Amino acid sequence: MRNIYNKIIVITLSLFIILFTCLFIFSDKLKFSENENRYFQPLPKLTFNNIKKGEYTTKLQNYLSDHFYARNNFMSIKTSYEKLMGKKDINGVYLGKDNYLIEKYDKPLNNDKIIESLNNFYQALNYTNMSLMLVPTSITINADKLPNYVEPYVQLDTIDYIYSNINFNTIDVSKTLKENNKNYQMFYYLDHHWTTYGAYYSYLEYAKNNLIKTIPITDFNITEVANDFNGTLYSKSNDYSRESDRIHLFLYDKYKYHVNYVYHKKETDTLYEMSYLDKKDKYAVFLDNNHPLIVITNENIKTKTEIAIIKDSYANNFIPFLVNHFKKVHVIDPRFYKLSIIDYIKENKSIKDVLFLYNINTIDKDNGIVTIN
Amino acid sequence: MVFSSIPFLFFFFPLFLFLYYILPFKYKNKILLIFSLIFYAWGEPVYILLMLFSTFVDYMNGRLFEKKNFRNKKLYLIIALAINISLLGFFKYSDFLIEVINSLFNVSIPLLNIGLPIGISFYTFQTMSYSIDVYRKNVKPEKNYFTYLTYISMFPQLIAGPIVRYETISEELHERVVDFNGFTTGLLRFMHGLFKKVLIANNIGYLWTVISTSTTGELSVMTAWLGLLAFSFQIYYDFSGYSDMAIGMGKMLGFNYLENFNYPYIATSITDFWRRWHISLSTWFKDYVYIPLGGSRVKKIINIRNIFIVWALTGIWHGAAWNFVIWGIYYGVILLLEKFILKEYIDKFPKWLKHTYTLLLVMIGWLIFAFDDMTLLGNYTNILFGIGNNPFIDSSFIYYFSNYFIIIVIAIILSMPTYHIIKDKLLTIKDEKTELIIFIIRIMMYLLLLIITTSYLVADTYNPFLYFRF
Repeated sequence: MRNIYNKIIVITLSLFIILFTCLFIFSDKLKFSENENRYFQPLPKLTFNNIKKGEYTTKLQNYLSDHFYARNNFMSIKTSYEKLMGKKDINGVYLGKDNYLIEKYDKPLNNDKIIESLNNFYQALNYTNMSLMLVPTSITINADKLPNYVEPYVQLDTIDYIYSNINFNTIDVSKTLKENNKNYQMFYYLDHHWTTYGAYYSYLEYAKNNLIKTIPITDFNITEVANDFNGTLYSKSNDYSRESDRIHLFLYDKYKYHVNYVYHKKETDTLYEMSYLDKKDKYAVFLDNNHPLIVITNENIKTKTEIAIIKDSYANNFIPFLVNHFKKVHVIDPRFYKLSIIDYIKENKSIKDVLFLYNINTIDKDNGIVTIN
Repeated sequence: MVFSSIPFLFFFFPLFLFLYYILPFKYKNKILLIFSLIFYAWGEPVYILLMLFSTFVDYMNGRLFEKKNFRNKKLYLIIALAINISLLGFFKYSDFLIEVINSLFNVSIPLLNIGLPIGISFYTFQTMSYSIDVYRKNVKPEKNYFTYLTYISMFPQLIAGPIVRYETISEELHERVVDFNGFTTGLLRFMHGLFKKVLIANNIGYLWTVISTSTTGELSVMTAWLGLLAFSFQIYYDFSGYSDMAIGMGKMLGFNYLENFNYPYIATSITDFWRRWHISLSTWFKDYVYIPLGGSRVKKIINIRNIFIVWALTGIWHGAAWNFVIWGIYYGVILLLEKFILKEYIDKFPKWLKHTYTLLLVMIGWLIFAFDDMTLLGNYTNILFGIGNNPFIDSSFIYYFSNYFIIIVIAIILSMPTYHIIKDKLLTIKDEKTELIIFIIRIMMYLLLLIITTSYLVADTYNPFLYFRF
C-alpha cells in the first residue's frame, strides 16, 4: 500500500508543477504590474552577444518569475506563511499594530554629502530666502505602533545632525506631526507617504517660520475621494489582511490655478489628477505623480512673489497648500530635472523663496539631492 | 541555473524528464549530456570550453593507459593531474596568490579578476579521481568520450556536489534501471532537499545576513551567538539540501550516488563530525592524498605532517582566502589533538558534553569560515566572547529571536534523525485505516510545502548560491 501511496504523492506533485508550467505558457503576459508599480521583464531577444555575456539567461529568469501564473497570490501566500512563522517584518516593512505598515529606516550613509550639497547650493544663491524641511516618517511618528522590541535607528538624530550643519532656515515638523497624530492620521496605514492632514499641519509650521498668514482647517472643503487605497507598503509586504487607506483632498475654492507640466506638454486647471483614483497608485492623484518641472500659477492672487520647491513625492500633497500664498510655485524634482536648478532660479528673477522638502528616508537613498549643483 | 528556481523547477527539469523518459535507452545518455551542457552554459557560457578541455585530458589519459606495453603511465598521470591542478589553480587561486606576493614583497602586481567557473572544484576533483582510479586499475577506462563527459557534466551533481567517483556509477553509465520506482523515491528525496534549501536555509540565512552586516558596535553578545547559530544552520541546510536534490535527481535518472551528509550536528566528536559532513570530499582527500602520503601507518611526525597537508588543502578547497586556510588548519589541529590526546577523555564524557563540545567547536569553525575579512572576523569574535563594551543582551536580540524562534526549533528538530525515527515507527503500522490517514496527512504536507516553496521562488527575494567560491 505504502508504495502506491508514495506514487500518488509523486504524481500529485508532478501534476502541480506541470499545471503551473501550462498556465504560464497559456496565460496573458502583463507588461506592467500595478501592484509592484514597475514594468515586467519582457521576453528577452536571443542574440549571440546576449548569451555570451549571460544577460539572456538573467533576463529570461526574470521573465519567467515576473509572469508566473497568479504571481500576486503566491507572494501573499509567502507573506501569510512568514507571519505564521512569527516574522514581524517582511521585505523591509514592519507589520505594525493598529493596521499600520511601517517602512524600515536604515542608518543613513550620505548625511555629510547632503549637508555639503545643500550649503553649496545656498551659497550660489544666497540672496534668496531658503528653508529646509526634513520630514520624519511613520517609523518615528508612529513609533508606538511598531512591533515589540524593535529599536529602529533614530530619524530625529539624523534630522538634528543635518539641521545643525545647515547655513539657512530649517523647519522642524516632527513635534507638530506627533502632536496632531492623536487627532488625525498623519501617515497612511499602507503607504509610505504622509496624509493630507500630515501635510496640512506641516504647512502651518512652514507658514509660522515664514510669516505667512495661514488658512484655517475649517475653511477647506475636506473631501474623501478614495477609501480603497492600498499603497506601496501593501505591495512591498504583500500583507493583504489590512484595512485600506482613505485619501482626503483639502479643496479650496477661492482661487483658480493654472498648472503647467512643463516637460510633458500638459496644462490644466487642477492640482489633482482624478483618473489615478481608479488605479493602484492613488497617491498620484496629487499633482499627477512626479514630474521634472511643474509651474503652478495662482490666477487671482494679488502677491507677486514666487517660490521654488525642490522636493520628493512628499511635497505632492503639500504644494496644494502653498499655492494659496504665491503667484507662482515652481516645483522641481531633481531626480528627473537634469538641467541646472541654480540657473533656473537665477533666470526666474521673481523667485524669492526656495523650499527643500524631503522625507528623511528617501533623501538618503535617492541621489537627487546630491546632484542639485 | 540553480535547482531552487522557477526556470529549473517548472521548465528545464520537467522538459528534460519528459524527453529522458520517452526516449529509448540508447538516447538517454545523449539527452542527459545535452541538457547538462545547457544547464552549465546557462550561467557560464564561455567556461564550458574549460570543462570540455579538462575532461578531454583525462579521457585521453584513460585511453592511453589501456594500451598494452604503454610504459610512461606514471608520467602521463602526473601530466594529467598537473593540467587539472593548474587549471584549478589559475582560475581559482591566481588572484589570491598575487595578493600574497604583493603583501610579502611589497609590490603591486595588478589582479587578474578572473571570474571563478562554477563547479570547477567539483568537476576537477571528479575528473582527477578518474585518472587516478584508472591508473590504479580500480576501474576500466571509458571508451566513449561523450559517455565520460556525461559522467563529469551530469547536471544533478555538477555545480554543488556531491563529488561522485567514476567507480560509483561506471556501470550505471552503461546500464541502469530507469523506472517509476526510482522516479518516486527520487522525486520525494528531491522535494526534501528543495524544502530544506528554500524553507529553512534561505529563511534562516537571511537572519545571518542581517546580523552579520549590521554595525558591530550595535550587536549584543546574545545576538552575535544567534547569528552564528543561524549561519551554522544555513550552511548545513543549504549544502545538505543541495546534496538531497542531487541524490534524488540521480535516482530519478537511474543513478545511485553515495550519501554526502549523515546528520553531522549529532556528532559526538570532531572526528565523528568529519565522517558525517560532506562525506564525498573527506573520503576524496583520504583516498587520494592522505593514504598515498602514507596515512597513519608511518612515523608519528610524518603522520602529523600528513594530517596538516590534508586539512590545509581541505581548507583552501573551500575558497581562495586566508580564512579558509585557517579553517582547515583549525580542524587539522583539533583532529590531531583528538587522535593523540583527547580521545580517551572524550570517550568518558557524558553524552550531552560530547555534543556540546563538538557543536561549540563546529560553530567556531563556521565563524572562521564565514568572514574572509580578518578585521570583521576579529570584531565578531570579540563580541561573541564578551571582549569590548557590547551589552550581553538587548531588545534586538529578543526581536530577532521571536521572529525566528519557530524556524530555529524546526531546524534543530530536523538536524537530528527525528524524521527517520518517525518514518520507521510509521512503517511498523499495518492497520489500513491508520495508513490511509497518514497518507492523507503526508500528501497535504507535501503539496502545501511545494506551494509555499513556489511562493518563495516567485518572490525570489533571498536565494543565495553559497558555493560560488568552491
